[in-house]
Amino acid sequence: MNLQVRIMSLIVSVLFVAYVLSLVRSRKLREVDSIVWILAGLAIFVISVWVKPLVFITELIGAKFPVSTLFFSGLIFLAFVSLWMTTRISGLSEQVKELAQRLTLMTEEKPEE
Amino acid sequence: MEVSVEQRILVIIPARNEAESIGPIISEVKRLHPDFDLLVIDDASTDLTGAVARESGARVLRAPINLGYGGAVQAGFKYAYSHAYDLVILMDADGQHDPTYINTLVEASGELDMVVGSRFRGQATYKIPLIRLLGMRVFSGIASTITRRRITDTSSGFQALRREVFTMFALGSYPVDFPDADTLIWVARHGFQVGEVAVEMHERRAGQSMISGLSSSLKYALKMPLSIFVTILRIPSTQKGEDAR
Repeated sequence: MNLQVRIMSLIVSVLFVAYVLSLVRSRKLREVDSIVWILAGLAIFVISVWVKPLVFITELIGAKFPVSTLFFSGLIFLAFVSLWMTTRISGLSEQVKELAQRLTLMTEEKPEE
Repeated sequence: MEVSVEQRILVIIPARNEAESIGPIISEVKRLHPDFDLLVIDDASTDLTGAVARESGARVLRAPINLGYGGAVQAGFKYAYSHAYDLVILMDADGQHDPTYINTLVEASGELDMVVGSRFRGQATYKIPLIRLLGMRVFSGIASTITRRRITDTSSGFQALRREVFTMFALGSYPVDFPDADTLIWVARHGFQVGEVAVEMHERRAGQSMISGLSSSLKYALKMPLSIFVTILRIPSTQKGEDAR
């Protein structure tokens, strides 16, 4: 990766982490949910500064360019994150249903005799 | 036909926007079975379903948000469980299920833990769309093979469930959208006796079917095989009446 790309990704990663932190600060994102994004931002930061591991992985998987490895791992990461989010949604839907059923059971109206 | 008088029986009718059809059904059930309790789960209707049901003599539970068919039914099971009923009769609010067959279901529940009223053993007095019919046949075939019992109508919501079975669903999980072959397989895999009786089903009086429209049918066709598959993968609890999910 040339210097230009590295500087660019360095700036992006710093801005990204700063944005995530600002979301946590304003309570739009919970600390526990922000961890995965902060780690992702840090990973980009580390790769921008220290390219060796990326080159090593690129050679290991037989890719031509380190950038391809970066894109590939980014895609995999996003796929897993969205799958994880979907499981969270499923869990929340179940909780909402449970709550709504409990509310429903409190609304009993006796028949008019 | 004699029905045991000691049993406490609850008829559960999940209903969403069925104000036009629900009144006569409740009156008919009450006339035929004055000793049964009747519970309507008004699934966040925007019409007068709840009020009509109450006026007609049913107890009514009103869901604050749309629970979906399965969610409403499960709320009914929870009610039946907490009020210690022995048997639950499940029927639709749209007039498809003929209340005169409730007796047949109750009688069969003497031998079976879960009884399904089948329109294919009995009679459907209306035309079922071909695609729908094909799906019903396929899923019934799969359910029959897995449960090793002849099942012809997996999508029938006209059922009788004994305490052990509805307790399993009340305390455990129950499909939110389309309880079908997956539910029957799950019950059978717990060692419960599942079986069918012949019933007559009619054209719905008013309102709209749960599975109507292309997206709904597609969702059904895609979801059901998957649901059956994971039901087979899940390990049932060793004890009857406990959900193992």
